[in-house]
Amino acid sequence: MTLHTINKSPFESRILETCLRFTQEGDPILFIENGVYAVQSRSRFSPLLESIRLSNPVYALQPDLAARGITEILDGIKTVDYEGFVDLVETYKVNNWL
Amino acid sequence: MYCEYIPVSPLPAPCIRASNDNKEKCPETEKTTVRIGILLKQGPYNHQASDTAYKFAEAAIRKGHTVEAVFLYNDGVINATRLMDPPRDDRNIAARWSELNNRHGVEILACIAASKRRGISEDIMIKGSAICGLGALTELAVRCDRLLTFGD
Repeated sequence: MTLHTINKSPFESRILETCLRFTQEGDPILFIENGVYAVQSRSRFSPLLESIRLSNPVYALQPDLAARGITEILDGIKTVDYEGFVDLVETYKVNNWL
Repeated sequence: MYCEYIPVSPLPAPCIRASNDNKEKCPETEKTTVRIGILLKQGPYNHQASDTAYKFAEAAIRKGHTVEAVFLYNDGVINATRLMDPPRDDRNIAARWSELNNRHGVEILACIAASKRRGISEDIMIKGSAICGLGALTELAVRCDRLLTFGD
């Protein structure tokens, strides 16, 4: 399985959609940097995220959420710190989508 | 001079290995450790990539993993200039990389073609950094278990 990282907001880039065409069921997806805007609750992308979550574990980098003042995130999204990011990298191969 | 190639360090045998199945166990802690390479493609202070890469490297080292090298490409080479002089209450990104090299032996490698285009030469680079060719990036990808890209 492969860890996919997304570093751009879905409002500014279509990279999340591109990434989803390549992810396999069960592949973890980690949102970092501006990518964390995807996991905000009640956004235009909430339904998409809800459907991803059914087949793939979804993570968001907590320091990047905090830096952007995002406190309300969708249910079932796990937050990780940098050490959690490292653990994911240790466990899975990595594909950084830019 | 554009194709100048400075080998990073001797390759472990065999040279070409599958890149995700050689996790090793640390003999002391019995924890799995991975060798990590970082490719950084954005300049400091204008994109979060430099900060994310640094914080990731720091956390990986703290957890006992090895960060073999940070390869600076495109505007990323600007991370290696020691001419930067940010305000005292801000982080000094170049000095931080130099420190990582000094304390943990992380090689800071700048692509020669990208460096020449941006006026980055060895005489203005941070301690612990080196200029090398793209071959060094290939070699890094081969000898590491994971290669992470940070950029835009």
